[in-house]
Amino acid sequence: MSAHRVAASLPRIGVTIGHVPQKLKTGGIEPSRRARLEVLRRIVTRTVREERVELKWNRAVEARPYVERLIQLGVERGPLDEYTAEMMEWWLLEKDLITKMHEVIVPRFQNNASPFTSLFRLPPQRLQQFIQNKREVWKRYDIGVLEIHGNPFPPVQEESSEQSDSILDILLADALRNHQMDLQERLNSEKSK
Amino acid sequence: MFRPAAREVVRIPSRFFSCKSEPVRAATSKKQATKEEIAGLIPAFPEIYPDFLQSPVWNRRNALKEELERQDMLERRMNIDIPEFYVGSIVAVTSSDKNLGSKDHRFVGICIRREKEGLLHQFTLRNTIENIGVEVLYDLYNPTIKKIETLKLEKRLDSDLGYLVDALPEYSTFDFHMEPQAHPAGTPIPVNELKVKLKNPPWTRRWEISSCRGIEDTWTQATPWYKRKLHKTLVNDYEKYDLIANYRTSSTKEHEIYVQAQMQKFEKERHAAGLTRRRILKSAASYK
Repeated sequence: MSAHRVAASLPRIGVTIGHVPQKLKTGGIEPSRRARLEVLRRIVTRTVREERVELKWNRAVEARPYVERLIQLGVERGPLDEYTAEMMEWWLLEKDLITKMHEVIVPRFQNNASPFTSLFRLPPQRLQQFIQNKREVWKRYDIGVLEIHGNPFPPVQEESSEQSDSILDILLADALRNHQMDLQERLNSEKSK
Repeated sequence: MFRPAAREVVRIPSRFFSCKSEPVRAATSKKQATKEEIAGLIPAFPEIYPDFLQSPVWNRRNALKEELERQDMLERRMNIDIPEFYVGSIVAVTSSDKNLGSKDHRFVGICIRREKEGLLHQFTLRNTIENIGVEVLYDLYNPTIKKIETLKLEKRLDSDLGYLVDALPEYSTFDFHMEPQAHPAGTPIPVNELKVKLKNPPWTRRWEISSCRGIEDTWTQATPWYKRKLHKTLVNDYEKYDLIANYRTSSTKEHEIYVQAQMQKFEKERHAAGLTRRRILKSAASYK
């Protein structure tokens, strides 16, 4: 009740958002909705700082829409908006990141639509937890990589090469290239005459 | 006399980010606003037309149902002039009542709440009659409503004035013979920053922990029993920072643009047929 509506609506976020907020393990903090936000806040801050972060899969999925929305607020409203300023202030724990957000990240997406981030799934890791009476306890972790587009790192996913592996295609492409070069040579020799 | 070189004077500190009143940045935000105005879209659409928004519960959003309801709503708006009003505006509603015979029933009051989407949209008017607070809940698309007038167009600090129940009666007393006050077209809607004083407790709700901005100093009036109870109370004022919880219940810009385009098209068709000159999509603040 009497929650003030955000003045003008924002566009849709271009990533999958579940209709129920997922519970997250909060390590030490008493589990609550507040604790969940605190965990997400740390992840968002880290993502803006590092631009590519490796997280537990479920945390990455939950944090991604928050990063998207924060960037969207910057793109749509700009730094002078009161609501944007309040949200940046709360979500980015380190204050230099607010400047980074407005001056480095938001200008990248000035003419783009959402999504501004990508999420990749790494192969799950099995790690040994402890050894109890010669019994080894292992645990499986699902790992996701969350990144902001336009970061300076090499791409996570290899770009699909446009060249076909088929021998026929390779020979055809080569023949075409030779033909092109012949034409170019003939043209050059005619010009020189 | 020393005169600085022209090149030095016009240098703008672009590297350093400052908070307010930076003309270069302010200009860019203005440019974006005009882009939508060219298409005739209203920036305050969700506030003026809350009935055209989607349900805040996502699994109740049904495109077909919304479409059919929108058609009915537009038809109704062609028959009755539904003016722009906000929570906090003073509104007069004239409705017919079968028990009154040929006479009409007119009620004047402050709009304290607007709720629900689509054809079921409701608004509540509040007034004090013979020292008794009266709240009347109207369905906006009720066919027995004959006329809706906005006597005073303004907003308050909150989007729900439910606290007027516990406020002194002078805050919800309005003259039934009030003259309508014209709002100059093209000027922003004034926000009445009135802070009401509450009656002594007991109250209907714990206003001392609510986030209402339009109440004056609830803490001194609250009873010691509730003050002692505060440390046990679950205060979740941090929830406003949950951007995605907000996103889950709010409408999107795409939907608003789509609906406005539909309204414009509907108006144009009706105007071309020469049946009416009534306009449906209008806003006092963005009138040109």
